[in-house]
Amino acid sequence: MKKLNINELIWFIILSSFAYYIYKLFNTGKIYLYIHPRMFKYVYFSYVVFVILSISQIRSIFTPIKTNKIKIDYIVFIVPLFLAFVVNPNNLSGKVVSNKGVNLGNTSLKNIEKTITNEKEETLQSEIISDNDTNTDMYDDTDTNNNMDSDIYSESDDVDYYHNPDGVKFFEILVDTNEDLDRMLGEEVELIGFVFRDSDFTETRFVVSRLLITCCAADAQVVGLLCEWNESSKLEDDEWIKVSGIIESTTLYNEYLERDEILPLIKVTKLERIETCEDPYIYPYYN
Amino acid sequence: MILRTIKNKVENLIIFLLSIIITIILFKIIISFKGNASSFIQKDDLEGFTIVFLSIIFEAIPFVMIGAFVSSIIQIFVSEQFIAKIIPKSRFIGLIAASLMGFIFPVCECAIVPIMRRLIKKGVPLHIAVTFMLAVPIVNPVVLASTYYAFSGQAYMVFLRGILGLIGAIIIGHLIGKIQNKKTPLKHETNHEHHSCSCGYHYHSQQSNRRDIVSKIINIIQHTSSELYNVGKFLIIGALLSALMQTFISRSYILSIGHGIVSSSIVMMILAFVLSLCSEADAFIARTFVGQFTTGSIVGFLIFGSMIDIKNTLMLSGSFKLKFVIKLIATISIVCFIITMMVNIVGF
Repeated sequence: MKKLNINELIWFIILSSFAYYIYKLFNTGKIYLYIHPRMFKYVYFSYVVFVILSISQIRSIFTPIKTNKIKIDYIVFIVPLFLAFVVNPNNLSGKVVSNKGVNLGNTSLKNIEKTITNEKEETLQSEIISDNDTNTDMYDDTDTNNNMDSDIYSESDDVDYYHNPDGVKFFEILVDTNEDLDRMLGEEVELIGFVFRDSDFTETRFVVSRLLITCCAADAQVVGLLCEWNESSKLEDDEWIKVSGIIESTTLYNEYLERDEILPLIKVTKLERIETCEDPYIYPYYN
Repeated sequence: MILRTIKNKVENLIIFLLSIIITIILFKIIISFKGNASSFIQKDDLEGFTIVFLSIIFEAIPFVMIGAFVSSIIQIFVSEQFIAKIIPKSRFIGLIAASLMGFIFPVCECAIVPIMRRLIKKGVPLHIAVTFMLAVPIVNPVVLASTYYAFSGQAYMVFLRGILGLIGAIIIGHLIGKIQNKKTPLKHETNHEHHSCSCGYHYHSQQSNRRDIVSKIINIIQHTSSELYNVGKFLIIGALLSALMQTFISRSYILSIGHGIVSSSIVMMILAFVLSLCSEADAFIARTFVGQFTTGSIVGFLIFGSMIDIKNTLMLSGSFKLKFVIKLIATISIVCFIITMMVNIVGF
């Protein structure tokens, strides 16, 4: 009988557990919690490599033993696996992410909108079949015709462009209010998101928010719209809600820009508590 | 004798498994405290930390694998003589050529460390290897395109990042080459864990028939595996540190430190270092700072973050002498800071 090489065995277990965990993430759909769908192909790739490496590692399990000591370094690889299997995270809370910045809709969102239209333009051009002749003319002047473009953009929602339709709607309203608040004033909107509160908010105010992911969960940001509701204090942080209301505007002091800023504010007419959403994030820049 | 070694193994294995079980129990206890104010780690924090930590790993590991793979291919197929032959004799031309490699060799900064280490072992001069390492993650079609998208078609941002990144990489490579002179930056091979790493590929490479394709493939796979082990552990430690800082130190706190021209540049560079974002993704984060920070400091964020960050520092320290890593980071910081200040002064 051949002798077992423990170090190689541990490395085999590590490699195969990584492969298994990635497989499990895709299988349960939890991968959406970690990575932007754009990056999925790379994660698939790493899955394949892990599988290949594990298979080739089987051979090495029986190679001659050079040292008796178990390499302490393996602990490093076990830590993430361990956290993954034991903690088995289900959601990224807004409170944790708010450490990295909250975006109530200031200038930076405008850029996102432009990016979206640019990228949308590209995807549409590549899918010529789905392109109507009437539309193509409009894409030439993207910058001057932003509103038009975003209209076209929302028309093509039935294409499975994003993972979650609620998130898409949320993002569109967010972008629209930022792009042209005046036009949106008085409109009635319905948003699904979680409750987020900053320490300096007044009692009646909260933010109906989502997490915006550009690449992976490490770059998540809280984005959302400020809401005003008399019974806000009854809401708990991170609770998922469906808000209906009318868009108004308000001013809030922005400590970075050191001046007041006009922000959209939703006067809540109806509020409903819902179950935790399966897809808490929104993913711009899908390509 | 054999019996004793087996006994030894079994003992080791038991200790190993026991320690795992103990840690699992500890974590279960921590988790069961959820919502309890007396426990200092909340479930939310732990979950958030885990997600951020794992997502950095999942994001980076495919690229580390590519790096490990390329490095194995270089190891097996490229000879020292070949490298000596293609390296330009003129130092200046060599530096420029190295800095432009990114166009034909588009990898991001997670993949570059194992490749650069392999190149140095194969006899590539240090200044060229350093310039190569710093420039490739910036001057690379994928990264430049994502920068273009992130800044919604403001082409000057792409030019600033590309050109200043190139210049910076060349200057740093030149300086590091001069500072380090002929001393080897690599850790002593004999002290290196590499050797105790029982992947057995040295054994194979001696045995294999040169023309045997199967054995070459096996060779590459085993090499990739050992490379992944060597770099992966530092990637994980880096991801861990970065995730810890992201979860427990508020970004607005870092940002609130500086708004002046000088302090904002420093803050943005620290942020780039701490966040350890992939160079393909960092432009999207940098964009959110437009309006809050000067263009110079945003350029600083984009250049410095692609050149060096927590996870790269750790990956470097795995194979290079600590003194060299410190010198390298110091040089990169100073040069990037000067570039940042120049952009600030010229003003865009």
